[in-house]
Amino acid sequence: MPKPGTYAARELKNALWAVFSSLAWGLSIALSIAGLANAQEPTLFFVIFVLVINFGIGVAAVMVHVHWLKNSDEMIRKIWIESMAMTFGVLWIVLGSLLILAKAEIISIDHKVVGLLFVLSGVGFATGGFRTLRY
Amino acid sequence: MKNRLKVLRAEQNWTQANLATELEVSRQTVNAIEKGKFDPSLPLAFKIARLFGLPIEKIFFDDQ
Repeated sequence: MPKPGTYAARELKNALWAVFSSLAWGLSIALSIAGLANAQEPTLFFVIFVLVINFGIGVAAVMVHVHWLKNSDEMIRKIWIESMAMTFGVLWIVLGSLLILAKAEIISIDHKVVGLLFVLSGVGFATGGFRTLRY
Repeated sequence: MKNRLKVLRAEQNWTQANLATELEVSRQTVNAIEKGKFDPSLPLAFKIARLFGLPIEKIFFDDQ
């Protein structure tokens, strides 16, 4: 464990917050969708409640990530920003391909496919960031 | 860009982790700079120079 008060300790704490906030966001979305799927007839209040929860946790997760990147050192920040750019690009390519295939009626896009895109982006982002371990 | 960071660190008997703590960066960043895989920004280069009490050009060299 790094010494308290050092850069390494702050980086570890910020990175853990980023991981936990991402997991909390993913979990809240999964639970929200499961809740809506299991509800006989979801009321408008319930749908708005779920949207507000998703928005709240999502904004918090974004702020945690921004805080983490702002406080990372320049090389670590560069690697993670490159990883985000790669993830964003791959996501657009996959999404574009899915839309073309759906328009051609080869596949159909439902919420499970969209959920997989979330997982894909998370895995892509983490994989790109593992380059920090090379050093 | 080449540099003498590894030599200067060794003269002080510092580990990469010690130097990283002094510079408030990660150990990985110190390692990458030493190996020439990452060029530090000017503010970080000045910080390194101040820490060793040397001008920047005595630590970092242009490849060409």
